[in-house]
Amino acid sequence: MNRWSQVGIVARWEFRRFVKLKQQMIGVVIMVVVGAIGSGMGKMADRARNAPVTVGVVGSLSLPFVLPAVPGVTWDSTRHPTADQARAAVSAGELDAVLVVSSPGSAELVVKKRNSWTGIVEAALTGARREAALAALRLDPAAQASLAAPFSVTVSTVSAGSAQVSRGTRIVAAAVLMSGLLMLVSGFASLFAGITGEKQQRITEQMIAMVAPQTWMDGKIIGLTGAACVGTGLTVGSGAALLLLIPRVLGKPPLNISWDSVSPGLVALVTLVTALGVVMWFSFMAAVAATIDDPNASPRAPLLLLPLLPVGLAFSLLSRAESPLAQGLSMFPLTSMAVLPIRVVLTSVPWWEPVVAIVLLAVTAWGFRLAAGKIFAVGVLMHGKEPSLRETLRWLRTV
Amino acid sequence: MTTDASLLTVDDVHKQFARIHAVAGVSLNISRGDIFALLGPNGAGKSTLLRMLVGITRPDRGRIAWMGRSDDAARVALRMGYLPEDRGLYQDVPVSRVLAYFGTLRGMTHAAAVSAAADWLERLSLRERAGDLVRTLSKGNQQKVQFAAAVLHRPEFVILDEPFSGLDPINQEVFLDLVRGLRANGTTVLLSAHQMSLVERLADHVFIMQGGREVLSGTVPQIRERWGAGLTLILQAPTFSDVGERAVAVHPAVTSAVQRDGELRVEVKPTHPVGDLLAVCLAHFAITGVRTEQSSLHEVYVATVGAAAPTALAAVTATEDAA
Repeated sequence: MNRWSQVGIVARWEFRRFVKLKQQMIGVVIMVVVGAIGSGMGKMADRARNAPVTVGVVGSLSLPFVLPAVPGVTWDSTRHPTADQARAAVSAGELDAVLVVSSPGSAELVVKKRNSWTGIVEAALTGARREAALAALRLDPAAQASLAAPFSVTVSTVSAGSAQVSRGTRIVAAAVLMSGLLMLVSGFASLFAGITGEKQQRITEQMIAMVAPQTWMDGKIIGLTGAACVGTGLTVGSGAALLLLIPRVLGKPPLNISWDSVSPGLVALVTLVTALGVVMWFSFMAAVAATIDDPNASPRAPLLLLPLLPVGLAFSLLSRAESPLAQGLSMFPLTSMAVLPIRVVLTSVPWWEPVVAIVLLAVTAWGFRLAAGKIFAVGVLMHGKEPSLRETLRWLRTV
Repeated sequence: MTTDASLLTVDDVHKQFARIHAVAGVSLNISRGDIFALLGPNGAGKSTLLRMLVGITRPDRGRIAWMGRSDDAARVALRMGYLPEDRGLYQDVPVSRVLAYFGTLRGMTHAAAVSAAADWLERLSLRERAGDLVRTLSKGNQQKVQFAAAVLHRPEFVILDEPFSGLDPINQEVFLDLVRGLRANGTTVLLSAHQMSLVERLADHVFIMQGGREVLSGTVPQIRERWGAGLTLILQAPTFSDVGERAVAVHPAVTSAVQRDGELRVEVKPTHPVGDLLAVCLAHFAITGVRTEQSSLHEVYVATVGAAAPTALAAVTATEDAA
């Protein structure tokens, strides 16, 4: 029987073992429900924030400007002429707050308890005072607009092949990278549970008699990558649907992504790097799992976290994406899956850098696969004791 | 050593784990259509030898040849079936799906594997359990499914490592019939077992190993003849005179003659004719009944292997640690 036919059979089997659509759909429903509850709570918070309040004003005549219009806020400077009366009214709940003006440039805002709208009131008063000051200077409207306008900076580059990356491309690249990481985490769990489970259920010897260890491992990696893709697709898809739905529910403007501006080349690059990284780390995980006898007691379980370290490193380099360290790590095979996409999106990267990174990553992934196959071949047949690192390295030389 | 009918020839095969020689120069020959029993104490090297035959491990030295060819393709061509000693099944999968999976891995089409799985489950009286999860089956029934998984694809050669272990007497008989059924269909069977009485009823050829080496081999009658204690004549008579008992005891064919429970038990040397001895007995005693007992395979095994039991036990521990 053809080796790749067996790989296909194993891949289909592993895929069906770990894709449990019913449970995954229940997970998606729970996610949607939690999202709906979250957006409902957000809407309630918005309503609470926009509830009308009445603010008493004492000493408004001292102000050098007219009290500005603030959405949801009503100024009342007539009912309580003294500060004490106004404070008493706040305590009694007749007023939501009182603004006691102490000088033309300062005032005390007395509230029963801290509220989120007090900052809006303060900002509105500051703006009104600045406008009044500008008006006092008797400038023409053009000069006033010039003073109020922010300083505009547009970043452009002169290096070839370093065109500005659009917001849409950044979002898609980030989504691909995050999906890859999600795949790693969910795939690791399946690989770990699958391989240690097969060892504990004593299935391994029978399997090795039917399929070569490398064939079995390749089939597992392909099948579990497929299963992880389905799981990740469902999670990312439902997450994206929620992102599109929540602004509608909250009555806010939808996310503004122009798909026309997405760079297919960059998305393909990130996808390729992610796929190679997944193969490399899945091979690593298969080898580690094959050497574990009891998953509940093995000191090797923390090795599961190892592939997540480059991700942490990549996040720490977000603000230094152009540094020589980031450049080196973007080509180093164990970190390129996480660092290269960040560099490509955030900085200008010479054309050869992704090429070197992909070649090194592909070679390393292939090497990991072969080495993991050797460790897997011996490890899956071992029961009762876990091999030492020295023994494991010996297998690499002798198997 | 290879004959025309040889399906498998093992020639001076060695396998070493660290400093332990698990298999130390074994040679054997299995003919097509035979049931060949590989016997020996725990740690004798049987499973290591079987794993080399299956291709899970490779010999350090020596040659394994299938129909005269020692390449992997020859082994693959036999579509070998294997029931390992260390066995198990996917527990959270329906029985028929597990069987179909193993069948397709052995090269069957999915449809053929599903059909063969249904046939075997019918034969094993498990048809109603086809859709049940494996973990809901009893241990005996799981072992039946395991057996079906090993032979589903109609192998020409099947290796059964401890097929009777853990089975109750009724299921042992079921498995005995299953193995006979394989032979009837032309499958060559190599089995390892500790149940001597079952092996004696089943095997055409017996090969006993100890410490990684051959202790003895041959057909069951040959083994009884060459290594057994011989025939025991049990004579019944109203009385046994001392003179007559002495006359029997000194006969050249007799090893010993002992009176027990009103019977005279006369052990006859292997391969010795008993006609003359019977005449001596008839001359001295008024014999009312005669029956015979032969050395069982169990007795031969205990006699040949048991003598070196302490050494064997040490070897077991060392081999298992090394493996």
